[in-house]
Amino acid sequence: MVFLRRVDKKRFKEVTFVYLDFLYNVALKYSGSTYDAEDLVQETMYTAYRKFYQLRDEEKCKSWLFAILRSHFFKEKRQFAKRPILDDGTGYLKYIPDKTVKGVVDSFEKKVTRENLHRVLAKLPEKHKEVLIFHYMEDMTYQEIAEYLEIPIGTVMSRLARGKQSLKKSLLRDTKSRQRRGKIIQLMG
Amino acid sequence: MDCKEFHLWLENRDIYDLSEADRALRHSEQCDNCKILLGGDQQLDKRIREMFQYDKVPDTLLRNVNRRLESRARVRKRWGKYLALPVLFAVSLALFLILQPSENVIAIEALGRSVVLDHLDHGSPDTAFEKIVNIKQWSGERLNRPFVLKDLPEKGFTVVGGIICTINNCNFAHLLLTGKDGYASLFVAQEKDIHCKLTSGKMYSVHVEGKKVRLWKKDAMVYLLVA
Ligand SMILES: [Zn+2]
Ligand SMILES: [Zn+2]
Repeated sequence: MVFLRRVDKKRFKEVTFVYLDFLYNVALKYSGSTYDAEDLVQETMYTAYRKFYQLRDEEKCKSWLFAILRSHFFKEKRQFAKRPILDDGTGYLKYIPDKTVKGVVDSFEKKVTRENLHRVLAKLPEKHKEVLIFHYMEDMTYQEIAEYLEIPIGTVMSRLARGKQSLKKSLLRDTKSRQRRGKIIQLMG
Repeated sequence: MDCKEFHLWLENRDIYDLSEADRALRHSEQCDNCKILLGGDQQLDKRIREMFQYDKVPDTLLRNVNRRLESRARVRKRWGKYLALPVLFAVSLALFLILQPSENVIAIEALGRSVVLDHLDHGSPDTAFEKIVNIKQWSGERLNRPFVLKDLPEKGFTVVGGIICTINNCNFAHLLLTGKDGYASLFVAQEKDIHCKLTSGKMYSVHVEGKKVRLWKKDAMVYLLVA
């Protein structure tokens, strides 16, 4: 019995640890905080270990781990106060401040930071956030995302369109308002 | 295609048919404004892609995952052979449920009292609070555990400064704030260092010496606002 479990653990590590990078970065995008991300990955790995016998096809390990992480995130998230949902994400072009090539490039080339991204992502609805993660971070096609999330490809496309709109709009707006605030410490982010 | 249609296409490319892209590109070649928007959007997209690049995994993560897996195996081995385990579990759960709330409430009140006394003692600008430019950096250096200020129960506070105070043998970041009702103190410590259990997402409050303390937990840190 003990022997069996040991073999399992070794195999478990071989199969899953290569995805720690991926899981951590998804968790980071989901939660926006490195501490939450670490916690989330630890929880995920712990659950994965307990349920490892359920993983029939090791080829599918990455999406299996992702599904566990995601369900942990949703479970934990319910405990937190609800975040304000952004408006429906129509139109971001008007937030481009100065409509010259230089102005457009300047307005986000330097000033849009990862912190902006995390702050903005945290406020997006989960269904938009996850397609954005797979699109931008994992470079997946619509088809691949659809298979991963087990949703129709048309849904992927519309969520991606909506998600990109909200993301770009919020990034542009967030960057702009941070610029205005300058160095004053703003408590309510 | 006209400008309006082009804008719609640009903002919704993912749901448009590919043939629309040809029409849109043709329009942008003839229209300077739309060409600029297209260029800007591509830059933004590129920038977003860069921001989505993998962050380095913290060194602690692998260690913690491993530790978690090991400890699980150990606990199993040690207790696995006891048949009485379910009974033991039920008894300790019952005890936990009976004892936990009242004991915890007492601990929370005691902690609330301690921070109020600390606030009354020196929660004013007469004390030499250090200037803070970046809270995350400051707390990382002083408390060895960076935190940021968000989710405060009230708006409109500005940070005056901070010091580290030892209260009940535990190091707290003591931040002096100004708000609409004068000076307030925010105390922040690691959850593991205090002897109460708080539930994430829940706001607790304690009244001591005419002062109201609100406590909450976030990212394994405990925050106490005396205002
Ligand atoms: Zn045009
Ligand atoms: Zn103090």
